[in-house]
Amino acid sequence: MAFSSVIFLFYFLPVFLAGYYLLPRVWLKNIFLIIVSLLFYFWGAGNLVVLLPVTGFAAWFFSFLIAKTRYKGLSLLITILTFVGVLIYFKYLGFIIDNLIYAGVSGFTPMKPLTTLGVSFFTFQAISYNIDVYRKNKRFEKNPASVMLYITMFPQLISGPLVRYQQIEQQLKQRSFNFSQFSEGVRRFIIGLGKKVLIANSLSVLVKQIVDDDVNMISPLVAWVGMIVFAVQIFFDFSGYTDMAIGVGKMLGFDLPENFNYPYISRSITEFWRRWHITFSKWIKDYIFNPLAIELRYWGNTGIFISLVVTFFVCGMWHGPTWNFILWGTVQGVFLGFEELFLLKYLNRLKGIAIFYVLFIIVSCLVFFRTSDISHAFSYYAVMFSPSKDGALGLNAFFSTELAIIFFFGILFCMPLKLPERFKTGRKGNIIYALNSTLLIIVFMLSLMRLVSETYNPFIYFKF
Amino acid sequence: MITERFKKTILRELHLDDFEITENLLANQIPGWDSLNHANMIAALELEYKIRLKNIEVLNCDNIGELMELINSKLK
Repeated sequence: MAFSSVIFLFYFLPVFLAGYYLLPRVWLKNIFLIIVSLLFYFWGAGNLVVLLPVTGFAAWFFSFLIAKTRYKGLSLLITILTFVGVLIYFKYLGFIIDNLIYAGVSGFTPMKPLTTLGVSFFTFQAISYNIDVYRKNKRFEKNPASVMLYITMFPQLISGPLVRYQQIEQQLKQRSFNFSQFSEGVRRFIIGLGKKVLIANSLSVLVKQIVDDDVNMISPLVAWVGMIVFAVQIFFDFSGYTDMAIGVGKMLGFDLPENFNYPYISRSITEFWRRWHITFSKWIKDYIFNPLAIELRYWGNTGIFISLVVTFFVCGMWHGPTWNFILWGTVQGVFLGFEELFLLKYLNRLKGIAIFYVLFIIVSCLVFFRTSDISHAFSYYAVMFSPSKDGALGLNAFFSTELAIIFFFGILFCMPLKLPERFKTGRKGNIIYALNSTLLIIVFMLSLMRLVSETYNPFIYFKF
Repeated sequence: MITERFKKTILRELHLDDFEITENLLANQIPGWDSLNHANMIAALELEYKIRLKNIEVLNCDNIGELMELINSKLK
């Protein structure tokens, strides 16, 4: 069930919130939240819903073995193998078999791809909790229900933010419920809804026309603009989802970690990954990059280069079982490595101009992310990088005035626009606050109108 | 206790003139010490003290104080 759907907004959320707030104790709310989360997951995943309580309980049970038995190392190994195994089985087996068949290994038949919502997110959460317990025994959680809630909680279940157990440990047991936090949550939710429904969904139609139809018809300019539009779309799609997740979290009394911090104003790819999908990039940093870099520390910068490339290979792989995603990740890893070796010095001298370098790399790499397969990606690149090519279709063929305006606002909102401090307090502050609320109501109404008239609006990050 | 030798090594590696290094500090709160050169910093400290730390021991350190403690435990 998507947050941006009529069924979620008008049936699921109000009924759930009423029940949630009627229950008197935190532990009752927690049990209720677990049950409702399973229902939420069942809606999209059907019978595979079993996977969720099993993962939750296994995460707790393994941490018990790690913290309370003599076989710490062995238990951790089994834990990681189990969760990575689940991930491979549900997400990568088809891809591996296809490649084996392609390589000429006999005895395999292609399998139908399984789709399991959010499996990459909740297995990663389970793994991080167990590694943390392994590193410090005192992080073991005695109460299995708390770990269960950590794994299953529906606001962050399908698409993050990737929460660490320690980040919400206290909140799982004790959290405040007050009106200002609730209203803050509602505001945040509406912002996310608007980002997704009004901007990302509108732009997705445009991107689809440019990228998925015959690429030989478009001019190089259209190809570039198409990818820039996609860069805007994916940011609004994913950060919009995150806003809604954080918003629902606040309505329930949780403070979920932020996931985005204006990624498109970064001055290096290194910085970009500190601003884009932050909870995920911290995860791969802590559990993949750091252990690798420490292992290879006597190799100097070569060790760091290799660690970065391997980490971003995994990052690409995590996004989906295709060579496109693998290339998308690995190429960025190589650039991160170059930056660490020598490029960062020069980028620092360029100051603001370095933003264009980042956008150039990010937008170019997104071709792999958006196209359907490698040959599609290369024919798209061929159009982008042959400036003399004539395309039958120019920008006019794709942009209506409405889309141009939406694209313009999309770019505008990628930048940190802050009101001066003097507009935040006193009478001016009150007026701004009232205007802000009115604007949010309008955004909400417009989003609803769009939602009711459209039936199809999948989130890009639901695939992962 | 953060020793003078420990502090000097860090300042030298990061090309810092001076910076107050306390036990509760996280590595990335020291200017220039980030995730990318973390491994180099560990290698530099090992070279200075002529010790070898186990990977897992390094990864288990949460802050500068714990890293200092780990190094001290190897010197005994």
